[in-house]
Amino acid sequence: MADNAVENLRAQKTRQGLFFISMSLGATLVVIMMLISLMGYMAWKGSARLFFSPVVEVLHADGTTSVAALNHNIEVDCVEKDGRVSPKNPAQAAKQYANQALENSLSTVPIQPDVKVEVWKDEIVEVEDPWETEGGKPVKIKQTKQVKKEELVGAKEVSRNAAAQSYVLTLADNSQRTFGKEFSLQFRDKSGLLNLATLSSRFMQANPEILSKRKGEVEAALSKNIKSGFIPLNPAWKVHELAHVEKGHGQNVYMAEQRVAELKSAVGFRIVNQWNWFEFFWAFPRSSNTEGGVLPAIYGTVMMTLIMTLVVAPFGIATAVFLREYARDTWFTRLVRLAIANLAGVPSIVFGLFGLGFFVLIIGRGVDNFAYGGDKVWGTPCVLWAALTMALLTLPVMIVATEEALRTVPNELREGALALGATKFSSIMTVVIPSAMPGILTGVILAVARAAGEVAPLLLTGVVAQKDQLPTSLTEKFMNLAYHIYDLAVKSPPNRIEEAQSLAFSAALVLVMVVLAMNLLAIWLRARLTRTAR
Amino acid sequence: MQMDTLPQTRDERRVEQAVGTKPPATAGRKSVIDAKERIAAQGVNFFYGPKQALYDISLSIPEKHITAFIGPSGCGKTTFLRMINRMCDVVDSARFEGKLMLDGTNILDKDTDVVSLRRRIGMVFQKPNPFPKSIYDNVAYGVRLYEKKSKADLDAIVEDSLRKAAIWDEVKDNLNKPGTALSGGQQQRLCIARTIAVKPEVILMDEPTSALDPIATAKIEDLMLELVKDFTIAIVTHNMQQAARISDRTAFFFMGKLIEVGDTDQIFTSPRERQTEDYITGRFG
Repeated sequence: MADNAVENLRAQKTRQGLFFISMSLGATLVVIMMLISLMGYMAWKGSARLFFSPVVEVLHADGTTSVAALNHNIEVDCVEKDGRVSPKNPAQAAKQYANQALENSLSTVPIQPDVKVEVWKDEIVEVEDPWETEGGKPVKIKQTKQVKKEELVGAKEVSRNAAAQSYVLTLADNSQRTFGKEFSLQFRDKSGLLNLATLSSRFMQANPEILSKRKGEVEAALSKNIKSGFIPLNPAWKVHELAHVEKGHGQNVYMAEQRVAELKSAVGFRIVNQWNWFEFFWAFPRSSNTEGGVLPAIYGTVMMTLIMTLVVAPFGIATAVFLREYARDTWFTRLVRLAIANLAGVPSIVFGLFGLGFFVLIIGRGVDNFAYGGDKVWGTPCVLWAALTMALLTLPVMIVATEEALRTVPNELREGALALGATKFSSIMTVVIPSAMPGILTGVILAVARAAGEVAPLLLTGVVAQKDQLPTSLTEKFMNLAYHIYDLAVKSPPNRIEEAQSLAFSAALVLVMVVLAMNLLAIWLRARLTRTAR
Repeated sequence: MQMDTLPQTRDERRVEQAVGTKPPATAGRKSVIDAKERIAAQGVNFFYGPKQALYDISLSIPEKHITAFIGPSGCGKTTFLRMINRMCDVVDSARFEGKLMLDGTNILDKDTDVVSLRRRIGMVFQKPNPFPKSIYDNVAYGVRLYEKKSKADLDAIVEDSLRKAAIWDEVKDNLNKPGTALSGGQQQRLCIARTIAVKPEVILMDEPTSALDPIATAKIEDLMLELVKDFTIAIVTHNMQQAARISDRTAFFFMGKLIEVGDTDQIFTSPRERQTEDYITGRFG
C-alpha cells in the first residue's frame, strides 16, 4: 500500500516535470550568478582605481593645488580631518613615501619640513632649457651652454654622458619651473644636499628684480603650505633617480622623467583619498597607458561606432525592406538569406582581414593612386575603414532584426495605406517602417553594442594603443576601449603591472557600463515607441 | 391604418425588425434597381494561381445605396469586393478577367492606375487598422499623400471627416492621442473617417463589424446609413440580420458563383433560388 503511494507520488512528480523545472531554475540561477559576479568583479576591481585610490594633492609654488595619481601603493598612517585625509606623521610619511618612491623609480621625494628658502643670485648663469619635454616625453635635447666646470659643484657624478647630465638638469628645472626661467630659487637643507641644488640653480636664467620681488611670495607660500600639512618636496631626492640613470635603467629614466613632468612646479604634496573618476574619463593616458585616463579610447570607440551606425543602419534597413517587402520567395532571396546567416557566423578577424585587404589596400590605395599621386592618405588603416569593416560585421544583425521587425507589422496596416491610395513605396515609408521602428532600433542598438565590444577587426584596420590627440579626421588612427583593456592587461611595462591592471579593470567597467547603457537606451526607446505605436 | 401602403423609411424597417413586430416590408417601396448604376461587373473571373475563385460574376452596384454581399466563408464575396479597388493585386498569384466598369472605364484593365482608383474607391477592413500615428495624422494620412493643404484646410477636413464618422465628439480633445489607443469600435469609425477624408465615390467594407461588440456594431450601422446619403457603399457581411437591416440590395455568393442578386427585401422574403433560401434560413453555411 505504502509502496503504491510512493509510486503514485513519484509518477505525479514526473508528470509535473519537477525535475525539469528545478533544472531550469538552477540554470537560471547560474546565469544570474554569473552576471552578478561579472559585474561585481569589474566594479570591485575597477572602482578601486577609478574611485578610491590614494592620490596626492600637489601644492604648487603659486599656492594653487592639483591632484596627481602618484604611486597608489604607498601605505601611510592617515588621519581624517575636515573631510581630508592627511598623514598622521608627515615627516614619517614623507620618509616612507621616499623609500617607496625610490623603489618605484619615482622622482619626487620629500624631506623633513624644516626647509629654508634661499636665493642664489650670484651663481646664476644663462643657459637654455636643456631638455624640453612635451606631455612627459622627451622631445629634443638642446646643446647645453657651457658652464665653468669648477662652478658645478658635484657635477662630476652627473656629467658622464650627455643624457644623464641633461636629465639631471631637467629634473632640477622641472621641480622648480615656476621659480625658474625668470629667476632661480632653490631649497636647501642643512644636511649637505646642497650640491645638486646649487647645480641646478646655476642653470637658471634670472632677472634679479623679479627674483627679489617674488622671493617673499614664495617664502610665504611655502611656510603657509608646510603649516597646513603639506609635505615639502625636495629636489635632492633626484640624486637617487640619477643613480638609476647612471646605472643605465633606461626604463626608470623614462618613468621618472614623466613623473616630474606631471609634478611641474610642485613644492609639496599630501596624500588624500580622492575620487579620480574625472581624470579617468577626461584625461589622456600617460606612461605607456598606465597613468591618466581613457578619454581617447572612449572617444575613438564612440566615433568609430557612430560612423558604423551611419553606414549600417541605412544599408541594413534597405536590404531588409527589399527582402521583406519587395522580393518574392525565389532561389535568389533564399541564397541571400543564407549568405546573411552565414556572414553572422564568420569570425570577426576574418572581417578584419577583409577590411584590410579590400578597404585599405584596394580602395584606399586606389584612391591614393588616383587622387593623391600615390601619397598614403586613405591607403593606411584608419577610423573610416575600421568603421566600414565593423559595419560589414554588424550588417547581418541589423538585417535580421529589421526583417523581424517588418514581419511583425500587420498586413492590415499595409493594406490600409494602399487602400487610401498610397503607392507601395509611400506605404512602406509612412506606415510600415514607422510601425517597425522599435524593432529596427533594437537592431541598431544590438549592432552598436556588438561593435563597441569587438576588437579583432580593428586590430587590422586602424586601432592603436596610444594616441595623444583625439582623431579629428576620417583618415586618422584611433584608440578603442576594448583594445585599451587588452593593452593594459598584457602590454604594460613590467614595473607598472599593478597600476595597469587596476586601470584595465576600470576600463572594462566603463566598457560594460557603456554597453549596459546602450541596452537600457534600447529598452527605453522600445518602450517609448511601442507606447506611441501600438 | 394601412401601413403597407405607406412608403417606409429604412429606419422604420430597422426598428420593426429589431423589435420583431413585423417582417421586412416589401410592398410600396421603389426598387433600388431604378437607381443609377455606379459599378457594373460583367463576366468577372478570378484565379488564385490555378484555382478559380470567381466564376462569371455579373452584377451592378447602385449609386448611394448599400449593396451587401452575403454567402458562406470562402464563397468569393471578399475576393470580389477587393477586386473593385484592385486590392486583389496584393496577392502575387492573382489573375482576373472580365469587365468591372466604373464611369465607362474598366477597373480590371491592365493599365488602370490603381493608386488613383483606390482614392476613388475607399475600403474599410475587417479588423480595425488605424496607423500607429495620432488620430489627427490617421485621418490626414490619405489627404497628405497627394495634396499639400494648409493647416487650416487640413484641420477642417479632419474635423469634417471625424464628424461624418460620428466620432468627433469622442476624440475632439485627444486628436494627438495615438489612434491605436481607442476602443475597437472607435478605431473602426476612425478608419471610416480616414477613408472618407479623401472623398471617395465608393466605400467598400469588408465585414467591418465582425470584430466588434453589438453596441459598437449598432453605431457603425447607424453611421453607414448616414454615409450612404453621400457615398455608394458595398459591404461584405456574414451577419444576415445586418444585411437585412442596412442594405438596399443583396448579392448571394456561393462557391465562387453569384447565385442571386436583388433588392434586399426580395432576397430575404422571396428568394428566387433554392440555395439562397437555404442559406438565409440557416439550413447551411
